[in-house]
Amino acid sequence: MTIGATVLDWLSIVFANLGVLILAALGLAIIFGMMGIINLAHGEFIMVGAYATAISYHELSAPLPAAILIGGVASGVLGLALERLIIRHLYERLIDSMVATWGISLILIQAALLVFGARYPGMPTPFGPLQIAGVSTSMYSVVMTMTALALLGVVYLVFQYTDYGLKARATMQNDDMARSLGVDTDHIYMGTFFFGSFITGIAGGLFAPTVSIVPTLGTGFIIEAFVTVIVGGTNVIVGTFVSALSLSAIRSLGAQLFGTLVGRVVLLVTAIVIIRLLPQGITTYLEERS
Amino acid sequence: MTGDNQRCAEGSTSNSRSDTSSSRRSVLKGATAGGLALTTGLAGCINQLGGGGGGSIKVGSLVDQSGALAVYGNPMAKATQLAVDQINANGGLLDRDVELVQKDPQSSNDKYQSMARQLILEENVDVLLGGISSASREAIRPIIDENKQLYFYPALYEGGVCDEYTYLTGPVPTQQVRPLVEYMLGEYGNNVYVMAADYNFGQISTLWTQRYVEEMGGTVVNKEFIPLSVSDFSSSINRIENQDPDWIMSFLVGANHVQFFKQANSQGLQKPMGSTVQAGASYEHKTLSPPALQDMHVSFNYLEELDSERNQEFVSNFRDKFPDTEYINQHAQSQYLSIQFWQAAVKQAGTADQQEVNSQLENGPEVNAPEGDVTLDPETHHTNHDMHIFRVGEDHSLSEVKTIKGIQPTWLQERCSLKSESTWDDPTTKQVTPGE
Amino acid sequence: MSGNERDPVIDETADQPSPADGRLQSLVDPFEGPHTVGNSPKFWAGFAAILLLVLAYPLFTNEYRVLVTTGFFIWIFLALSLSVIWGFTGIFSFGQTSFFGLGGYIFGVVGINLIDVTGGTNLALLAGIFLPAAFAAILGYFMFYGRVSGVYVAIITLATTLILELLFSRTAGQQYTIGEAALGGYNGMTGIPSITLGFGSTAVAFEGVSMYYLVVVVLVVLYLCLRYLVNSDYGHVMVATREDEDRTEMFGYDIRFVKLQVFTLSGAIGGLGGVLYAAQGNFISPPIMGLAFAALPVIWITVGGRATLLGAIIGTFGLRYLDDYLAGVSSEFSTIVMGLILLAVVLFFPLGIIPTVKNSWENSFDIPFLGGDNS
Repeated sequence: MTIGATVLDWLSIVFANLGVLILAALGLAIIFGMMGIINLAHGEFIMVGAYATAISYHELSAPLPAAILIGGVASGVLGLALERLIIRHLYERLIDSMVATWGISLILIQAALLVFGARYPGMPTPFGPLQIAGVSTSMYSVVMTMTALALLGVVYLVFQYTDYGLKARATMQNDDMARSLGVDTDHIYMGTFFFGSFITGIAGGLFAPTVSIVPTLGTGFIIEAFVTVIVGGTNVIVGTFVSALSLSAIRSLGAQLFGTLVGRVVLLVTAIVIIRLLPQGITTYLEERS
Repeated sequence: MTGDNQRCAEGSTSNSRSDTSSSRRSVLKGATAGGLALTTGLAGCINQLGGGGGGSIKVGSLVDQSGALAVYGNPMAKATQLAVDQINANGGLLDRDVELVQKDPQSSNDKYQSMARQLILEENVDVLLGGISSASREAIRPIIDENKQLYFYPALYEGGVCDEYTYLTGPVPTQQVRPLVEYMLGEYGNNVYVMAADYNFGQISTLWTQRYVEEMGGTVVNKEFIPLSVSDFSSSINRIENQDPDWIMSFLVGANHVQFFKQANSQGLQKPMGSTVQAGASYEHKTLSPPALQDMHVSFNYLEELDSERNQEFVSNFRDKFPDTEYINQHAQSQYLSIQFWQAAVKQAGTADQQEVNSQLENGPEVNAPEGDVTLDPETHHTNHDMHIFRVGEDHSLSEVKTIKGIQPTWLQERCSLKSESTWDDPTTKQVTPGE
Repeated sequence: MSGNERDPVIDETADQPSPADGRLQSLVDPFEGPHTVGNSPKFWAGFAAILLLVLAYPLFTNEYRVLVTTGFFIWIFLALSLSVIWGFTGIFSFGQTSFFGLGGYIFGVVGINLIDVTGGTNLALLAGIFLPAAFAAILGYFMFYGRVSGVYVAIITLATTLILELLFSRTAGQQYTIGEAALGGYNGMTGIPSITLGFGSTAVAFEGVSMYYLVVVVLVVLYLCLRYLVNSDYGHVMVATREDEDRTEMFGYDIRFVKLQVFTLSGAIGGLGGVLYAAQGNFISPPIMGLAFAALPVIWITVGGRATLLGAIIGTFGLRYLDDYLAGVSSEFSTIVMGLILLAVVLFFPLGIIPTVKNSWENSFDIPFLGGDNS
């Protein structure tokens, strides 16, 4: 294989992987960035979105985009319910939120197993192959990455140009100040949790045609999501994007040269190195530079 | 010594492990043990009185019904239940009821260990079945050995276990890999690309594949090991396309790896494939939408689709009893087969005493299993199997393309002589790997 | 991002109770203080009583329950290793299972190779404690001297344990055999000897009931040592670091070094736990360093009470017992019940069970919990 072809190959994989990381991490970044909540049930929100998508595809014969939206709504509603019932008591308590969400994760996984069994019928991957410059990839993975980038744009627009977005950003920066200026931070938290869960559900829906619909399907995403978010820092959009891009690039390089295991190890090692060099995350580093 | 009174009569801390682990003196242990011998022994005896003599015979089963391995385990649990119920419906065993104690270790090695201990030490099961992944088997084998527990491991695996107390009813690479490699090399060509799960089963199966391929004049152009948690195969698929092998050998395991076939399909990769896990064990031909698994060739001793009168009867009994069964996989049939072997040996021995039953098993009984007539190989404690190679069609239907009868675990036979060299009280308990 | 955690309410007054017996009290003094629960003769009496029950337990139960209970005690070591670094020093490490797993594997490798040579696992035991501690020191230096803090420590430590899990899963082939010990890859390492102390034919192997007693003795000794430590001046420095790093630094303490020391200690304790674990099951496998196990000590300690040793012990034992019981009774619902319990504890016992019980006891009854004048 020529060098050019290898590089193209690598780029196509980075591109595909970028989409997966962004999708897996974006919802978590929103919630973490706003409220510092470490949601250990994040993988299960992805799972709920995927299940809702698969179920509406099979039971309601919904076309894929509609099914994915349903997936988003399902996760969003779940997130809302959990926020009202449980999470809102834990905003000052970072570690306790971890324990609580771990408990939620256990419950969700087992509930999925009990209700739907060990495996639910999967969905076919739409579109088929795509050939560009001698490199083949799956059209759907290109679509996923484009959607991921579009979602980043949507989140940006929401945060920049809506009333909610303004208040959300204020709350993120300094919630006491925001509250004293009349922002109902309680509602903002609730809305943000819904928003983050909705995005995660959309991600789950997008993943659904590419994964087995099993109760544990979320567990494969959680570590990468976390690493991406923490390395990215508190800026939801730029941080997530830069982090996802760098991790994807390095991991794909490792996998290409040395195999998948090395790719995984390299991802984790890179995260460690980045954190060590930029102890407050990429966002703070960028902020300090600018 | 008849019945389960054996342990009771052994006196001191029953199921003690003084001999098998090491020849270290155990002064402290001995003293405490001696002091407690009476109480524990008595307690153990009192425990036994229910299960000894005319009480029920206990079958213990450890099968994952939740967690990552539930896909394999659910049919297994049903098969075990079916076997025991059938025995009881036919008047029991030795005029006694058979009681099944089946537990779900939730795909966790840790729970396998504690539940194995519980079944052996508290429930005093007369035989133990189960374990799915090789890891779970290895996690409990020390406990099995320590307590001299008769144990059946039903899953297809990487081969090599040579253990006095363990019987293996699933097929091994000599039986699965070799005929498949021979067939695929002949049908499709000499260049093979191997995709394997990155743990013992995948790694050792790949070793075997390489050995057989090269022996038969072919070449392994590349071998990739994928960690179990990975579900993204884009780079692998690109590599395969570039290297353009004649066919692909797959030892991919678990819900994440199944995505390889979908992704390959959607990326336009069309290659014949071979596997000793797909279809017959993890029934992807039922769970993936066609034509993702098209042109996959699998070699198994048992598939639900086996076309024999006996199997059809087995399948209909199974599905009558468990109507919402997704698929009856190799693992399920092996559990059933294990109970058949055990039952035959118990009848021969006239007792459920584990040492006696073990002796009978080492006479190499033959049973009429759903997969056909099978015999136990006494020296290796493995099973002789007929192999069937099936091809998966575009619509995911299976059609048999080749049958090979009566394959023995020959490689292990050269390295393992349990009947001649190992005894119940002075056992061999090892696993050999290729290269030894 | 440093967490705005509510600080556990352990009062700091340290009026000593008037000693019933001066000499006895001065013996117990160093083990009492504001950072542990139970500072009175009544507590120690209760402690002794429970200890007696624990020691007598094997006499009225069967062998299986002894083995299972030993297992619960062994997990407490993992919990205590997290307790010293997180509960007392405020550093949230998500990777204590690295040391636990390394301890077990190192014990296995050294033990399998040397047991036929020396007759014992003495060196294996030491290696299983000191090598993980050394690894902790290196990792600690990397993190704390690089001023990594808060949730970033959590990510680095988590990543570390996951990397170890990945690497050990890859060791299935023949080439991954160190001497006589095959690492075994994902299947794990089998044939690990039991703890055998001594040499040659006079060596003593600890298995079953004797292992139970060994673990109990070591655990009690460790508990007392840690009580001593956290109630000493050094303990004050640990807690001060937890409470306010900058202020502690301004008082002249090199908190990077303090964190490094405590982290190394936590590595040693974790390693010791791993040794006992591998020796008891005669087996160890990579999942022990995976995400599920990494989260467990966090959960045990949060439930039991983060800032006390007793909380760590009781939380761990209670949850392990519950998990074992539920899995045996109804595996279908066991994880759901477990999840609900975690939620209930977090919502209704925000400081963990021990401190909450202590506080509500003292609020309702106006007498000290577990005795002592420190209320």
